[in-house]
Amino acid sequence: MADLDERFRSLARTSAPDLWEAIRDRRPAPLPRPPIVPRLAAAFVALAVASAGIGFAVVGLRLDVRERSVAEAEGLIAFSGFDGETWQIYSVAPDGSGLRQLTHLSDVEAVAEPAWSPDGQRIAFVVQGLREDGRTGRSDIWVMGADGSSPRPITDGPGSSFSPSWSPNGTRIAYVRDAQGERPQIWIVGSDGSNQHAFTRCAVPECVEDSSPAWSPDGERIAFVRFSGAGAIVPVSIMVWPVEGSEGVEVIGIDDAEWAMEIDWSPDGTDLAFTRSFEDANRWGISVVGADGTGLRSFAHLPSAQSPSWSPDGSRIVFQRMDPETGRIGLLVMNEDGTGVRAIPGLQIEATSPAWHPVVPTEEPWPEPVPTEPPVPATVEVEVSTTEGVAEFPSAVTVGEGGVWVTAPNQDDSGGGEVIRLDPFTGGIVARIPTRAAPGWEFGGAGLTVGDGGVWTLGVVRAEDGGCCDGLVTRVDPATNAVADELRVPGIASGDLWVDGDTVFVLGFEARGPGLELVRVDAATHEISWRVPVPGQWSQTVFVAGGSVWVAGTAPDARGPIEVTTLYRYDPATGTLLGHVEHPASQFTLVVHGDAVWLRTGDGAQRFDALSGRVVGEPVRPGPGCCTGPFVSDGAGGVWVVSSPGGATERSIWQIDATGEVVAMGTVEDRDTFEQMLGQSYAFDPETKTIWVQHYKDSVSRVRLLMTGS
Amino acid sequence: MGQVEHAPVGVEHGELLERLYRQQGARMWRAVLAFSGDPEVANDAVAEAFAQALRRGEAIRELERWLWRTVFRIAADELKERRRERPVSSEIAYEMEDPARELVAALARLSPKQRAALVLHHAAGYLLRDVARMLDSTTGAVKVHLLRGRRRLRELLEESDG
Repeated sequence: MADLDERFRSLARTSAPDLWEAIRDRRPAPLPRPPIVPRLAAAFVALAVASAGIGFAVVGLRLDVRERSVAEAEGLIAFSGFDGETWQIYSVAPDGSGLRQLTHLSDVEAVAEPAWSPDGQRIAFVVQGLREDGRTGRSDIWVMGADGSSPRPITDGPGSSFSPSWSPNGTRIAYVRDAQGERPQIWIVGSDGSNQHAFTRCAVPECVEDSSPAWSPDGERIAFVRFSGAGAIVPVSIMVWPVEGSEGVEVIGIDDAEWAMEIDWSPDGTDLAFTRSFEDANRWGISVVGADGTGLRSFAHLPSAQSPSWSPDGSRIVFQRMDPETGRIGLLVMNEDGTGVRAIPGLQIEATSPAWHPVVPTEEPWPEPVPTEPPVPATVEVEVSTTEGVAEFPSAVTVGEGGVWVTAPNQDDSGGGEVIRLDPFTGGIVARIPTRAAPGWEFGGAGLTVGDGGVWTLGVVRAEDGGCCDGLVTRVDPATNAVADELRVPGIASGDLWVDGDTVFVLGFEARGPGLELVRVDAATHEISWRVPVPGQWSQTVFVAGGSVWVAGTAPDARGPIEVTTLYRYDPATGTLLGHVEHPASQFTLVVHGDAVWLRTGDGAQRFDALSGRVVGEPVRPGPGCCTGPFVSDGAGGVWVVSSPGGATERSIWQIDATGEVVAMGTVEDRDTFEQMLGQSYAFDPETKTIWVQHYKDSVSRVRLLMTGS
Repeated sequence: MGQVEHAPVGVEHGELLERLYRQQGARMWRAVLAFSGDPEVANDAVAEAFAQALRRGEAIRELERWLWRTVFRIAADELKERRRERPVSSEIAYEMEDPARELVAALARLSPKQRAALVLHHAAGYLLRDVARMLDSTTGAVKVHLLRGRRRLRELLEESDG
């Protein structure tokens, strides 16, 4: 047979078609743009005013004591939210409580870009109309009370007006006007709609577009983005212009950016946060630069973050971010140095253009908040220690029968391996138990389980006729730390196993065929009761729950890349395939503890009811994306999940109980600690409240969860 | 990497891209074929990535790396789309030598990470460091993916031989 390298050389000899003509004639898909609704206005210059009437209803802002307390302490965040039909203005406290819809405009394309007046009593925002033909029309600036009362427009064309920013005394508003016959440029209008006048004059070739004005907290300057065109040496600059006179103009060139927008001044007037592109227009994120042009720093670790707004005390920044997996936009808060990123919890609607209430907290105490349901989650801290040198390239870890058990195939060609027992309290190596078959595997159920007084692994050995292969189930006796029994399953290669009483269910690839088989073996007699084919090209987990045997694998007809999306249900007595359940959303990983089965997808963790064969409730997730690292049973019907939707900086761990409530959460500030929590397989020990992490190379980490609070 | 990162003086962007396509296009196409198992996905991903690069002009820095990253991103999206619309056939409808055909079929049975690591390293010729960067991983983990992926490929190919 051809060796592997020869096969790759053979692949390299495959002739590829000449696509150059097709490339030149091809019309590429449109460039992706950041998801900002009102920015669309710029593309629809001087369109006829929408004749559709604008209906309006006001919802009073009545906060209960607890919400008042949070709002007073931290300031509300206003944003533009999408409820599935329209974009409207909402407000919410930074802890996710007190969500209120402030506008109820109908027959409009969008209501967006809220901006608080400096005293926090009013909100300016943008209303983008619809044309008669139903397409997006022009936009205007509106002003309303902070409770949504008395909304009215303060601009009425020409062209589109958007991106409002208040002067600190609340009498004027800077904004962008994009009208026919002129470049988009910065205008100023009285907050009552009076005295509209241009602030910048944008003319080609020096200027192609001015946008995103931000009035400084001292009232003396306005920062805005100037785009000088693709041919310019530095095409994008942040200009800081004095409101009166011409002294003190600052030009901050943003190197390496194709575009920038959405500037917000820090409350002390020293820094500017803004959105900008990185490398190419496909990638964007948030940067902060001093108002004098020094100290540019970029939060490139938060891709697709945008629309920053500072907290009233300047210690934090709220921003919007698109989940790279789902494309859904949510709000997150970080410390001003880019650390401590967390999602505003519980926002069920898409949210953009957040604006943090500017009022600095008063000293006046509010009454003690009245506890409300659900209870505040307990706080979790993690303490990590690592045992090095457990084995070279171990394959799996599990917990039970008084030990922590790690499997590791030998790295030579001997075909065997070992099961290593660790002390559940110290992580120290207690015993190394050699096995004839290389035990465990690095997928799904890991070919390792604990049950019926033993530790069980599945490995592969040469078949008795010398060919490939037989599966070998090995039972280790925890009392003696020795192999107590071996069960040979002919014709099975690597896979997973589950022990239910004295019955072992083995899932494995056919040794001499492309498919998979599920096999029932009697642990006492070694007899095979039945063996049946499993549909799909790949399966990786077998378990028993709700009285059925379940196999997790690819969909029956799926080909190409492996995505585990389907649970196949079998009758444990006969091996009859009773049906299958395909997850509606996407591929999943799963954990099982007794009858409690949890699936984790990009949308979050969700319970699976093994009796009815249905996914139950809404997915719960610790951030806009889900998730990374440990996903383990908590030993009480719930699970632990760990966030990291945007890389290594959003580091939080959540406990979700059997009802789907978050009952404990904590952040992991230290990057090294967090990285030690990420491995290849995981197991949870409820007795010591420890997550065991098996790493790729040779170590196992012990993550102790220290709980405080309810 | 990086043979034609910047245009020599007097070379138009389109000309530079065509030169890059002549140098790398076939290798890129074969890598996407190995990753997706579908020549249509390879055609589409390579054509779209180069067409995007043509339109963007000189705004793209590190053109070659950008193209490689983009072509795989488009291929992954395309695969998802196609799977939604219709099941993808396991037979590769394209003229190639049997060892290569069996290799591509076996690659489809690996985990996505192992497959991506193998394709990027062995079919596309990336260094481990670059593979790690593309997969948002570490060189150590990529090594393990390669080691285990190669072992699994051998098992699968032995099976198909046997």
